[in-house]
Formats: sequence, C-alpha cells, structure tokens
Amino acid sequence: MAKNQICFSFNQLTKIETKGDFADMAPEEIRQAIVDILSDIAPDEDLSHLDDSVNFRDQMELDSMDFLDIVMELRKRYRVQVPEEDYPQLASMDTTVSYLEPKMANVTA
Amino acid sequence: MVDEHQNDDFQSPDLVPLESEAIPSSPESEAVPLSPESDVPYDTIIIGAGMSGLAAGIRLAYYDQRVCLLEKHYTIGGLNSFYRLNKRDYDVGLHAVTNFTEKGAKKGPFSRILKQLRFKWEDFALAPQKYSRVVFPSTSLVFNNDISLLTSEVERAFPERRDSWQLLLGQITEYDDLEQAAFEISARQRLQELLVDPLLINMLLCPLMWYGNPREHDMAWGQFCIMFRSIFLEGFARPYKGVRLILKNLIKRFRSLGGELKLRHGVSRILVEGGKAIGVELDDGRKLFGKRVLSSAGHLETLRMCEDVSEPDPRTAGQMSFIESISVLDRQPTQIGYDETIVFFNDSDDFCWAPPERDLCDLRTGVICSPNNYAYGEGYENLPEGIIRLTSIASYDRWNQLDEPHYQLEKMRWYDRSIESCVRFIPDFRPFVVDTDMFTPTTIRRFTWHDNGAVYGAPDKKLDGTTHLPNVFLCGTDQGFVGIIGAMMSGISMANIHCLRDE
Ligand SMILES: Cc1cc2nc3c(=O)[nH]c(=O)nc-3n(C[C@H](O)[C@H](O)[C@H](O)COP(=O)(O)OP(=O)(O)OC[C@H]3O[C@@H](n4cnc5c(N)ncnc54)[C@H](O)[C@@H]3O)c2cc1C
Repeated sequence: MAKNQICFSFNQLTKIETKGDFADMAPEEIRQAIVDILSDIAPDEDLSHLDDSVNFRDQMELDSMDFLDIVMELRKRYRVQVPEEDYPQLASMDTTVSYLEPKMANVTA
Repeated sequence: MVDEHQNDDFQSPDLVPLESEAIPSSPESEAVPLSPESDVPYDTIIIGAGMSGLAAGIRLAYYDQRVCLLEKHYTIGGLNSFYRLNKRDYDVGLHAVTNFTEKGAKKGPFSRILKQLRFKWEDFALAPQKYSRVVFPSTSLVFNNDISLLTSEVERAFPERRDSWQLLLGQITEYDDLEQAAFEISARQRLQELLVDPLLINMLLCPLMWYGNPREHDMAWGQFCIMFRSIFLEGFARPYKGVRLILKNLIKRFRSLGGELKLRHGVSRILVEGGKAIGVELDDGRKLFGKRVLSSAGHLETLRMCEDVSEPDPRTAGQMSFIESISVLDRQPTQIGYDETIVFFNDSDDFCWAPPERDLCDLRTGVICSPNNYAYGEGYENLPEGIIRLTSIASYDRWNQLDEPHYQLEKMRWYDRSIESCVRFIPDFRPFVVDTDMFTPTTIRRFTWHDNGAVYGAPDKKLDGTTHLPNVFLCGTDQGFVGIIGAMMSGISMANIHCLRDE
C-alpha cells in the first residue's frame, strides 16, 4: 500500500482515538458534541442560551451550507453517517440528540 | 503581472514572485518523477490554484479528502496573483475586495466564506473603502459601503425615480442566487421597465459591468443582482497587504490540512474511461489518478482537455478583456486632490460594454482605483507610495496579432493614451509618476490560460457546475461567480455540492 495512503488512515485512527469511546455516549455528551460543532461552524453565535426544543434555524443564523457542515463534522469527528433524507432530523437540539443516540452507540472505531 | 514581452529577465531574483513565507515551498512542487504512489487515486484533483481552486481545496482537505491542487503557473492566485518588478510589489488584479461586511455580520458571502473555511474576520484584515464615484458627463453618483448614500444620490440626481429605486432594491434583495431561468433575463430590459431613465440605467450598469460582466452590451439579470449586492449593498474593502495576505492565508490553511499543491504542473488532458474521468495527464506526460476532477480552468478550456470531446465550440469563450495601467506616484493621491477609492468613468451618456471595434483599446470608459484610499485605520500608516491603477477595455485579438517591437511600442502608446483619458475625470497625476507598469490581454492569457484573456470568463455560466462527465465539475469564473469573493464562494459551493456529499 502506498505511503500516503497509510498516513491518511493513520490520521483518521488518531483522530478517532482522541475522541474516546462513543459506545458510551450519553445524551448529555452528544449534546455537548453538537454544541462543540456548532461553535466551530458559527463562532460568533452565543450558544449558552440555546433552547433545545426550538429549531436551530429559528434561534441562530444557519443556512443550508451550515447544515451540511453539521453532517460533515459528525462524519469527520465521530464517523457517523447521516443520509440526506435524514437531514430534517437535525432541526433542533432535541431531535438531533434523539436521532443520534442510537447511531452514536453503534459507532465502533 | 510579469509580462512575457517586457521581461526577458523572467527568472531574475527580483521577479521570483513568492515571498518565501507567502507560499512555503514544497518538495512536491518540483518536477521530480512521480513515485508509484501516484497510482493511488486522489479523492479530488483540482485544476487551478486561483481563488476558487484554493477555497475548494481547503473545504475538501478539511474533511480529510486526499486533494491535489494542480497549477500550471509557478505561483498561485490565477487572475488575482501578485508579482515583484523593479523592487516593487504589485497585485495583478486587486482593486477592491467586494462583499465587504463588518465583523460580526452573519449574512452575506464574506461571512459565509469565513465560516466555511474556518477563518476569523481578522484574518483577512479588510479595511473599508472611503468612498467611490460613478462619473458621466452630465452627472455623478457617489457611494460608499452604506447604501443610504447611493439612495440619496439617486434621489438628488434623479428625483422622479425615487419610488422605482426602492422597487429595484426590493427585487434585488429577493433575487434567488442559483436559479438559472431568472438568472438569464436581460438586465437592460428589466431596468428599462423599472427605472426607465437611460442615464440612470447606464450609471448603474457601468460599475457592475466593470466588476463582473462577461457578456457584451447587456448583462444577465442574475449577474446584475449578484454584483449589485456585492458592490452597493455590501461594499469595497482591501487588506493593507493586498492580495498577498489573502493568498497566504488560503495556501497556509490548505497545506496545514494536508492538501498537496503542485506548482508548474499544468494539466494537458483529462483522462476518460467508460464515460468517466479517471485522472489527468500533465504537460510533461505524467499521469495522476483521481475519483473526480474539479476544474477552475474555464468551461471551454476544461472541455478541450477532456479526451472524449473533439472540438468544443470556441465561440462560447468570453471576449471581455482589459489593459491595466499602473502608475506609482511620489506622493499620496490625496495630496493631489484624488480622494476617491474607485472612480468608474464614462465619457458620454451612452455606455458601451464590448470589445473595441477598431482599435487595441476603447478608452471611453474605465475604472480608476487607488489602493491608498482605503480607511486602513489606527496602527497603519498609509502605503509608502501612491498608486493609481486604471483598467480599460481592450481587444485580445488585436493585441495578440502584434509582433514584438510593435507590441512594446503599443504598450507605451496605450499607457499614455489611457492615462490621458482618465485624467479628464480625476486630477492630473502625470507630473508625479515615478514608475509604471502595464499589462495587456495577452499577458492575462499567458498567466491564466483563459481563452482571450477573458477576465470574467464565458458569457454563459454553468451555475450547477456540471459537465458532460459525471465526475468532472467546474468551479470559479465559468461556474458563475466572479471576483475574489465570488470565486471563493464558487469553489466552496461546488466542493460542497459535488465533492463532499457522496463520500
Ligand atoms: C486586472 C484584473 C483586475 C481584477 N480586479 C478585481 C478586483 O478588484 N476585485 C475582485 O474581486 N476581482 C477582481 N478581478 C477578478 C478576479 O481576480 C477573478 O474573478 C478571480 O480571481 C477568479 O478566480 P478563479 O479561481 O475563478 O479563476 P483563476 O484565477 O483564473 O484560476 C484558474 C487557475 O487555473 C490555472 N490553470 C488554467 N489552466 C490550467 C491547466 N491546464 N492546468 C493547471 N492549471 C491551470 C490558472 O493558471 C489559474 O491559476 C480582477 C481580475 C483582473 C485580471
């Protein structure tokens, strides 16, 4: 196998290791993971007053590009795949956490 | 821009364009034989390290793709690169970064780019314009980054168009970016219905066409709306250090994410097998393989590279190209009474946007810009020397037909003529000029490989970025968004839509 291919997968491995064991991820941790992602995507937003039951879109400035980023960051950080038809599930914090709970539990690095 | 005709000392140290810190040299950019690793396909091969290719590259590398950015030139930046000549730094294109919004703004392309590429507002260190002007013989309109100034100017000069101006603003705000049908409507026709007054229409079209219209005479309504927002509703700005700062940020980020940049790696062919691209062949015959290709080389230029296309229609290429006459002054432009950031001038009430019919250039209209006249703010002295840049319409064909001695002669002649034309509208700065440079459509062509040196690319845009091949996509100029911010936006959206989703 080519050298940079190995480097590449090695990078991924280290990334996964640093993120710990997802099988045990509690809803509160998933929530924190989403908050972390949101604060990277929208650094100027104040996330401390986020209402979990209200759609993200109604309380912060998020466009479709940002939504794609949430999905991509989940894949990058936790290797969780969110198919396009499930994007509506990521509307608010509550729906996102309950949607991700079984998925995060299934993640085995 | 380093001009092939002007500089025989092309490789002299003075002309080596890279500040070493700006673009850290990388071993891959040297022409070493490729190791067998090159058989492992890249996730995405990007053609062209201009603004769009760099922005796309960052997006893809950030999401762990193996990305290779191939650039034919010896430096990055494409239509907005930089160079050094006679111990002075020049920007190729930068007059103004458009779409300026203040720190903290959450809407608009600039804040989207920052978010998507994970930059901080401060990284681009944009200083806003002071004010600019559109000058026609009978009247002039002043504007800055606050639309209310332009509104009051329109109300002053065209009082009876007060209400229709508000209607226009409404339509522009509502316009939806990516819809091809609405995009194609004639802007002249739309404006005719709305504003009626031909002078006002021409005075609005002049700056917007200058900063982003690939079409002759008319402008697509979509392009008009996009340019109106980016210039009048958002605005002009510039980093003190010019385009170098922007490019340095982009390339540093790309490299830090593991992206590979290969300079002096021109793509000669896109290799096609079974109706799909499988990789590219370089000018020196080597091959690189990839799952998909994203090209910023232009639509026609890209088609021509595809093995399976025999003769793409050359008439689809754009024709609008320019000369740029740059004057270095021994004092600040404000000291001679030139205070504007940018002046768009036109010497009659009719505004003609087309390649010159009889001559090398058409000097009836032009854009004058002084990078000194930005509000750089505290902590910055002004630029050490005064600079006045002037862009005029030029014919690629005519410049291209000249032999070497005539080319040199015509360059001198048209520098003088173009400046003579522009000092009808601003104070005469000629006594204070200490150095000059000028480049022509052939220079632009030579360093960007865009057909006809067409600065804004093809008149017909491919908004969805697709080609006849399922895994070859377009970004940049010919996808539809032009300018520095437009090109970056294009790179980002095409990367998002075509290169990230199916991973
Ligand atoms: C004189 C001038 C002034 C301008 N002023 C401004 C301004 O003030 N503000 C503003 O916003 N915009 C300005 N622009 C426009 C702006 O620079 C462009 O719209 C923008 O940079 C386009 O970026 P791009 O990535 O689409 O294309 P490009 O910059 O053209 O990038 C394409 C790249 O592909 C490379 N390439 C082509 N063919 C191949 C190949 N076969 N293999 C490998 N590489 C290849 C080229 O070398 C080039 O680097 C100006 C342009 C010019 C020329």
